[in-house]
Amino acid sequence: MDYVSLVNIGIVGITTVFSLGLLMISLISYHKSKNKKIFFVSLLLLLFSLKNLLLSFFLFTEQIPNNFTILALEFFDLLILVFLFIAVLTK
Amino acid sequence: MEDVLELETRRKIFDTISKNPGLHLSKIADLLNMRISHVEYHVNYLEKYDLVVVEKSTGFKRFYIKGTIGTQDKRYLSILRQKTLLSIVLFLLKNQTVLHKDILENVAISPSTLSYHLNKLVKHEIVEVQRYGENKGYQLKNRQEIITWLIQYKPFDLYEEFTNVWSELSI
Repeated sequence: MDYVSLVNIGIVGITTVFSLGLLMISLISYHKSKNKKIFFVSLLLLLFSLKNLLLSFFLFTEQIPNNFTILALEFFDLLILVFLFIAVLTK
Repeated sequence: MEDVLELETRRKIFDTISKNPGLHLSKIADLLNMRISHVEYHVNYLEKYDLVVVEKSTGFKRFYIKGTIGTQDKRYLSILRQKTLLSIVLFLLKNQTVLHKDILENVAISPSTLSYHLNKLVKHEIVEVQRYGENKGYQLKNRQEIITWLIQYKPFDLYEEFTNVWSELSI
């Protein structure tokens, strides 16, 4: 495994752990506040964590991303932005 | 007591005050996602039946479960539930005796606001002043007591802060 791949795995790993931590905080915040905004923030963090878990899986299995996986990851990004937009719009 | 707390909404308000003594009306309404007038009605009812006591301090009506909080704790709660005052006290906890300008460098408020808050803390006997010639040094009056209080009441709530950050993000 080359140096760039190792750094890549490290960064994806840190991002995944960090996003899971934020997801936990958002879920507890939602449980406490029942705020609709936080519900959408939790959803987007859930998708962000899932996307990173998926990315970690691809990196660890050294699977070469094909068009379908790229499409799936892009779809996650789109959903994350949609939920962020809804969270901002929600009163 | 059971009859008074039979209503779910009222019980929720009672539980919220029990878990967060010293909250004011709008904060309770915020936490429970209820209208202030609605909370006010139930709090008045709880007060009428001697379950809750109301104390007016630092411009707010603060609510406590009757007989659960001592006078000293109430004094700390009324002051340290305010974010700016809490951040000044936390800075003083990390340092022994500090000058006005030292606090100013670490707490993002104007000099006059800081003076106002420091006077409030001195008046409530949380902070004491020591004179060094023309300068005034500020230090906590009862450091250990405040540490114990902070551990017991945890006025900073990570989850609440998370909710606040996102709540403020809107068009």
